[in-house]
Amino acid sequence: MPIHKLPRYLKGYVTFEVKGIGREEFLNFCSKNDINLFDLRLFDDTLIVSCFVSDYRKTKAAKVAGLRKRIVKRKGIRFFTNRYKKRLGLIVGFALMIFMLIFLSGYIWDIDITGNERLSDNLILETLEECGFSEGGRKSSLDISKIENEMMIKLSDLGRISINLDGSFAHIIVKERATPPVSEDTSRPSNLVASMDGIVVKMEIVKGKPIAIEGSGVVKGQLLVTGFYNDKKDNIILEHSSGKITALAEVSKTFEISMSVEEKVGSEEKIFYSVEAFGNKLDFSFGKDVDETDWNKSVSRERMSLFGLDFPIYLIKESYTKEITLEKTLSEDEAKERIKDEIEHFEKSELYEAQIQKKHITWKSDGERCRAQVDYTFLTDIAEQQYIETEQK
Amino acid sequence: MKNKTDKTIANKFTSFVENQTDMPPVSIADLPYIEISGQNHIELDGIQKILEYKENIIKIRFRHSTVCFNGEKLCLKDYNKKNAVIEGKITTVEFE
Repeated sequence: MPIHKLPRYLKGYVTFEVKGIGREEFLNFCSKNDINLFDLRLFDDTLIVSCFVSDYRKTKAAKVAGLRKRIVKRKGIRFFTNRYKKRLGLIVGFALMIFMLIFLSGYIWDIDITGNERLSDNLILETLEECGFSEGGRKSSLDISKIENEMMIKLSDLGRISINLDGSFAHIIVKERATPPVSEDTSRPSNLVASMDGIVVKMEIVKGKPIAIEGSGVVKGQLLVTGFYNDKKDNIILEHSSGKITALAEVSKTFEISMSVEEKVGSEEKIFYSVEAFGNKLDFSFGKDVDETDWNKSVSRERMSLFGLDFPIYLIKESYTKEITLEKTLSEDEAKERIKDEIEHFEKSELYEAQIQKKHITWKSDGERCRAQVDYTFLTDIAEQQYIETEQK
Repeated sequence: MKNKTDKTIANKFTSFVENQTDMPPVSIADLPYIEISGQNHIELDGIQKILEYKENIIKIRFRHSTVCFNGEKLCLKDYNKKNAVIEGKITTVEFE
């Protein structure tokens, strides 16, 4: 509908045809009586005219000889409502829809968080909920600036937070507090000592005076590079030693597992559903007979959506599982496989910086336990900072 | 006799104002106002009466003159107390 026709529609108008020879007289009568006519069309001897309902009543007074009038159509809200007056369900449904629209638009439907890296979405949402801001919360009861201030107090890592309400959607823009980088204190004088026993293979010294020599054996804690020495002119030098001391080290590690293990053969599962909307929970878990101490509980919240639009309604699925286990005795091969997995994990987590030169595994099994002793020979940096205590301020 | 004198005074006054202020005559005197946009649209102001209304001719009486619009498929789009809009293919406009 064009916008200029909207007032006509709201006010209600009648389109009628005028037939006969006196149509000019009829038009002049309308003009004199201040009747506004619009959308006039002429077909042969028939004039089709539209006017407001109130004006149409005035045209009834026109006594023009040989003129016939007939209403062609009525348009407007009043005619529309008259037509559906008897259809109560339709009117109630429409009124209900309007009410629901107004009612639901007063709540927060979705919260969108941007700008966070260290702080997780869940933590921000939980803190917001503590401050009284959550999905399904009433918008009118919110004091945004107060919530923002409370958030700043509660989350120390927060640099700035901005809560923007766009209709029923809340956009949270977060700026995290910048933390100063942790740097090594290179101003403090220090020595480099051996972090483990080994044979020095290579010394790459940036600062300090080398004490150990390449090819010599060192023990844990032995001084390798000193930061306190006299230079060629016999001046006392006190500095922060740095460098890389590569040594060939030997380490033994024992891995052990029991041959009898509990193995999962199956599980029993019970699922209960509930619906959460606007802070209210509707529980469908009738006859819930689960002792939570015996069962493993996991809860998942799934958001309801329709045509890509997320609603503040959640389907909560509580699943209780109970594992059925049987005691089993491992064969020697199975036990070895499990220990190998442990060895692999150890190498990846503990020896990731070392270059393993040699690895020897000695297996022992007494029927109850399986044991593996692994002897490693590897190249690694054994330099460890040891600060020199001084009385200078 | 008194009315005629009043009209003469009024006319003299309007012509005096027109001359002194350079205002367009239509804004002061009750003259017909006809605005033609292209060949299909005419806006009229100061209408007194419609004398004839047909598909090929619309004759309108203003206060001091009668104007006849000739054309094809002419129709009054809007019509109220003093204003009207004519649409259709206009060929000639005659003043009588």
